[in-house]
Amino acid sequence: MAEKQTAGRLREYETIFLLKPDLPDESVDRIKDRVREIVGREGGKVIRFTVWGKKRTMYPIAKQNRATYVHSQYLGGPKLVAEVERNLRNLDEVTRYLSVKVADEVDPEARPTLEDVRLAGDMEETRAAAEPPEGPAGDLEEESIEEV
Amino acid sequence: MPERNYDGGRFGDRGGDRGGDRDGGRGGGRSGGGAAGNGMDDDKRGGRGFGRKRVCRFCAEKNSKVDFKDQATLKYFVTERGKIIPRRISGNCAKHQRQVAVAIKRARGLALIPFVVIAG
Repeated sequence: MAEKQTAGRLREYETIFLLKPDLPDESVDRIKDRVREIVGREGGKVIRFTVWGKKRTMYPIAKQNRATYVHSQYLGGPKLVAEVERNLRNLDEVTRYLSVKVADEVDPEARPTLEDVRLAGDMEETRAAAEPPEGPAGDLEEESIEEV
Repeated sequence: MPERNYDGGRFGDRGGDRGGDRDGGRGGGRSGGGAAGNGMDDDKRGGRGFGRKRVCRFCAEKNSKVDFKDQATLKYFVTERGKIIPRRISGNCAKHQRQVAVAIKRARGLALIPFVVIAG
């Protein structure tokens, strides 16, 4: 679309990316911060990061049946999205990403930066059956922490 | 014939609790119109007891948007096999069916919704 950007108005985008499931929380935060830094550098504005947590994928991705989903919302221009995606592509931990434009012509003042959210992910995998390999003891422990 | 299940079951009972009066009206009209073509009609609509044109659920609910992140809603628009349910069955309007189709395809890419479900 070739509509002109009014000065000071930005587009709102959301990018979801999937990380390998066995990453520690610090690595997730590190990647989050990296995206945050890029958005800041390119004149955008981060609205919110939501870590959906570990979720079951409907089909194996990178030979894993789970993935950590991170959802980011930010304002910026098209160049910013290209830059974010380029960086995600270069990170080995990122297995999938998808960027979507949510809205045009958003006033950055009107969209405050919100607190990051961390969701627990789905608990399905705690219920045996689905997860045969991996150390069962370690897996359970991990899940119980997530539940708290 | 398990294929019949997807619309017959899911959308059938949804429609059932909603349109009691409309159902009556339609039933009357149909029995007058096509006593002979009844069986064929059922075949074409993909199952017995399902043939009423439903209102698009996104139009009915003004503030609902098609969202590829919303697995729970998108599930209504794919079969158990993971195929997109056609508009004539789901009842979506053209605009929203288009949006739903895109949303499903996006969700598939993120493994929120399966491409295929192998029957097992």
